[in-house]
Amino acid sequence: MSDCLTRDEIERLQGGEVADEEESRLRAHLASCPTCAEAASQVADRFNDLLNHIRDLQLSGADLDALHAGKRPSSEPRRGTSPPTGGRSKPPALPPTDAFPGYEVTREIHHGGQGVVYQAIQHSTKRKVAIKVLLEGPYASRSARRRFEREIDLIAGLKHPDIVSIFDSGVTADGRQFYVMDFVAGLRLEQYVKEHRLSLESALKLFARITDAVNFAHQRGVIHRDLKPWNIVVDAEGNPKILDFGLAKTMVDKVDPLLSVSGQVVGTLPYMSPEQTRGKSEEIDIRTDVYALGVILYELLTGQYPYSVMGEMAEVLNNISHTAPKPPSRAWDPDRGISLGEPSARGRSSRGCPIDDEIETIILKSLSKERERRYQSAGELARDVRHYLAGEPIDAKRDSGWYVLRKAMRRHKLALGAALTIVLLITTSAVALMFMYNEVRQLWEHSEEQTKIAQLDRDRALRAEALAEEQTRIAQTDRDRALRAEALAKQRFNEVRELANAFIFDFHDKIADLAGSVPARELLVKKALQYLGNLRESAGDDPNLLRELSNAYKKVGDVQGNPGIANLGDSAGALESYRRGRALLDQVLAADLSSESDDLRNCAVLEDCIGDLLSFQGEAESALDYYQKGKDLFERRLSLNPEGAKELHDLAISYSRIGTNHLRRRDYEGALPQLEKSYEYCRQASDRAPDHPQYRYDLTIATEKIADTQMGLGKLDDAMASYRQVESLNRDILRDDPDSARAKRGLGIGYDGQAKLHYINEAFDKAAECFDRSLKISEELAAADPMNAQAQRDLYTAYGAIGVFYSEIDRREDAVELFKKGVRIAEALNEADPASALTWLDLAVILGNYGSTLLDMNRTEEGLDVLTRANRTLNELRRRDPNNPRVQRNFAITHRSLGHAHRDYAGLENLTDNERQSHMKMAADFFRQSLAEFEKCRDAGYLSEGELFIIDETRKAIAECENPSSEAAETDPAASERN
Amino acid sequence: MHTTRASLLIRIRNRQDSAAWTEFDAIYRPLLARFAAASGANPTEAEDVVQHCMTAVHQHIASFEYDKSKGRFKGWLKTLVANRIRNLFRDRKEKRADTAAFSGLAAKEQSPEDLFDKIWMDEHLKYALGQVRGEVEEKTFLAFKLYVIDERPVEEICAELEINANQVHKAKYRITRRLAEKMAELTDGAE
Repeated sequence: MSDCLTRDEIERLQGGEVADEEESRLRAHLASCPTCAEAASQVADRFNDLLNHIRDLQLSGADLDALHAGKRPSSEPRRGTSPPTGGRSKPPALPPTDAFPGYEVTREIHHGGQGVVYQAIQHSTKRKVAIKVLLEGPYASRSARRRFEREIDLIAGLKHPDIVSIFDSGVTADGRQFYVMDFVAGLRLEQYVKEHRLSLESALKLFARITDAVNFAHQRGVIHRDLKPWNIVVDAEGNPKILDFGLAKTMVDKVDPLLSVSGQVVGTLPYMSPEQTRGKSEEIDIRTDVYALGVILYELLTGQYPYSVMGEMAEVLNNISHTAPKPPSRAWDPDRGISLGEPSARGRSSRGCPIDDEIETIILKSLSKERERRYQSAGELARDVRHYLAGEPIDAKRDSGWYVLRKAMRRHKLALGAALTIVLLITTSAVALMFMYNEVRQLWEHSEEQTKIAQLDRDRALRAEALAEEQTRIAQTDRDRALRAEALAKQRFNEVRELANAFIFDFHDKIADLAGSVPARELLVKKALQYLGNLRESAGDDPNLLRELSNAYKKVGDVQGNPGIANLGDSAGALESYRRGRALLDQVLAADLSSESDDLRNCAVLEDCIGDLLSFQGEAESALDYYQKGKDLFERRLSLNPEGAKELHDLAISYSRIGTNHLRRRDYEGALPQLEKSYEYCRQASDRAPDHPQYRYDLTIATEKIADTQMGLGKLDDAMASYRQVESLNRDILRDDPDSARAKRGLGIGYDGQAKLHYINEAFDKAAECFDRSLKISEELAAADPMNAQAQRDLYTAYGAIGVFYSEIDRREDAVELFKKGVRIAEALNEADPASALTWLDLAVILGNYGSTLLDMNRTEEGLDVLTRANRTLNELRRRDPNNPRVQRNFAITHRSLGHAHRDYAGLENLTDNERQSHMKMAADFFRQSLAEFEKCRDAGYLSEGELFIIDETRKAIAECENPSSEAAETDPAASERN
Repeated sequence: MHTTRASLLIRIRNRQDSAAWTEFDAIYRPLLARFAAASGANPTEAEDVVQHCMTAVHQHIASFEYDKSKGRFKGWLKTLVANRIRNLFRDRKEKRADTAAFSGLAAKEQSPEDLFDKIWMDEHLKYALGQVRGEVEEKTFLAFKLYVIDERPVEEICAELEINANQVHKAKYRITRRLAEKMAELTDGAE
């Protein structure tokens, strides 16, 4: 059809945004044109996910009304068929009459961000009550709820005339918590102060009562945590009532969100203590309430906050932590603070401000940044306020050296002044001196005496003060030191747990799979080792501490270099951490056999970790020793509990390690029985705990290894069946956990195995298809975590293997591209972890295959170049580990290729005879070295029957190079001989 | 027609944009509180978590690079809140039962990530729904609600609201499209 609808037209049509006549035209077209109808339904469908999600919310009509009114509905879905109520201006609905058994709701008092407050009548007593309903849903766990109920019990026990206590609580039919308390008619403290201008004395009396009530709660173990004028109601008789004790954080009505207009900070922030701004919940104690009381007193008297609480959040937090409060006497605002009223008990300061030194001292002591310098309880604070009101000395000043000194100076000022006046008189009036000599003399003597006495008094006072100050300082220092020592001990104790439980275990595991988390993980390891080092020094011989330390070292080792997980590629660091962990456990086992089973297991695990590390570094023999030790320990442990799924699984893994180690040496005969045992134990474990994901996963690993072994033994049909099982087992896992990186990797291994088998069976199309699938997975995994050594290793291995495959099926250009990619990754990895022998060897293998492919393409010079690089890598490996058979084998292969390369080179046309001869000689040398290495491999059992022909071939090549004939130079070497 | 505003997450980078902060507050406070409660925090602890996270957002948001491809904010917040909650549990000494011995990875019994994602989506949707409701005729919204949320048959809705089937479909389409726009505005740059 020529006039098909545009997308815009479809959208406007569905949105009802077209004129009637146009609409009928468009609809007529839709009805007759399948293409447009399809397009229209796609437009309509594109929001399906969104709509499904909205349906999942299961919002009721009341929820929607609440949403619309800008309030939040319950986050818990509530079922029910309340009819749509619609009206925008409808008052908020009261809950159903039976929502709170025993109470009848009369009105809604407040609807806040986190809860609703209703006024209600208790049927039994007819008293007015307030009911608060939390909007948050039921608690996740029973233990969380029990904790909560215990807390309620505690608070319900607070019976004090000035505390509004909770006397009932429960759960509504739809699972929300509610609390019942007395209904208090009155004004919030801040309003009360605004409406009744208080004098200093009446403000202090009110404050003392509030403080007494807080102290009462403290003595019963309840901290308020969120004291502020909003939480204090003053009734018609002027009695204060404190609300929301212990639940403050839960039930506070969020009139002002923390972050509101213009980024100004309002809400609870001004009353927050320094320790709260630091977010250290463990530092919150009764002194936190003392601080809040200090702020309230400050505000009550001056009408101001102690420091600026307006502006940037960071700035305000900084003010709370660091800015000294402005002296209250200077902050006093006559319009907003206390009234001048009648003079206070102590008179008033010279500037007409009713706040004098002493009350200022009380406030500032409450507002000390350090908890240790505040009043240590609300009771002390209340007492000092009462002392002040009664005209008695206050405690706050006693320990303050400067204050006493100043006071002493003031006391002597009068006497000093008199003496000075007389001296002045004398020196300026010589005549008077003449006439009134005697009197003056007497006066002089008298004044001198006075001065002396005064001086003496002052010196004595000063000395006393200095002494007192010194003593105070020493006492303070001692106290500080004791506090610091105690804090330090506590801190150390907690550091282990902090590390073990949160920092390393939880945090690392959570971020390990996230792309780009590597720098954070490195920092984590560095920090962890620092902590652990300190702790190890001071751990003493407490076995529990040693166990935790050992465990932490293991975890750090894993992160550093456990080859089985995403690691940071620091093999040497990992080995060191494992050994430290192991040594700590030896210390434990020597001293404490109370949890032998666990300790044995942890020992075994560490043995295995060391074995893994060695094995992946190509040190198969020493790895086997550690694996055997590990297996023995696990068997001992299984004998303690022969039916345990965990014990069985442990042993399965142990056998798997040993089998794998055989595999690395191509000892397939030796590997198969070990791996079959592993599979069997794993299956038993899985049978006993069928839902355990780890067992399920390890079963795939065992299958994978059996498949590898079967392939190595030439049991190709068995191997194919096993790889298919690997594929399907991993698919099952991915169905339940689609993001599992390890199941993806397992799937890739399944494809890879099938590809190799197809290749052996010369089903090249099928092989290519499986290889591509495998490669795609490797690429995806490596891209997701570029610093993950294992993922990178998988990727270059895939490039190398598929490169060989393409090279074999004459897609050599493709092969070269893959080799290049593989080399690039392996080299980068090598640079990052030069200690890893495995990467060096892998690099050499890829380079070797790359080079000989180039030779096959007659790109002789390039080939020679690449093979020389391979050779350099192998030489480095031989230097480190001369007897490693894998190195020997690859050394032999690469040298043979180099021999071929030089022989090819000698065949190029533009060479002089000299050059030709020199290349032939080099070729012969390489062949000879290759032969020697092949023979070593043969003697060590690293050449299979089918590969033995290579020795004769190489001998033949040597002979040809030593006696070059024209045919020899033109020989076109077959690729299969080289690899 | 409504024009889509700049993403909420860009707007809050300006600390003076009070409307944006109010909006942010209205969505994220309940979101965080719900996640904390669902993770097992009691209300006091949940409030601590919320406070901590909101403070951190306020402090750090200005330094966030806005880049659609990075998806940083949501992940960052998820890590932040999860970490905070873990600290709480550590304080409670509710140590996790076991650590995986071999492969080094703990078994994933449940996924806090999924939970967070669900709550994130829920809370944004609820907020968007409330906003969009205020923008349309009440009858249109009712039609949408009855049709989409309550899944009532079209004929019933037509009878109840005295409108025709076409209007029901239009209501669904228009509100859905607007919701999608609003959601984009709220979450753009978050993931």
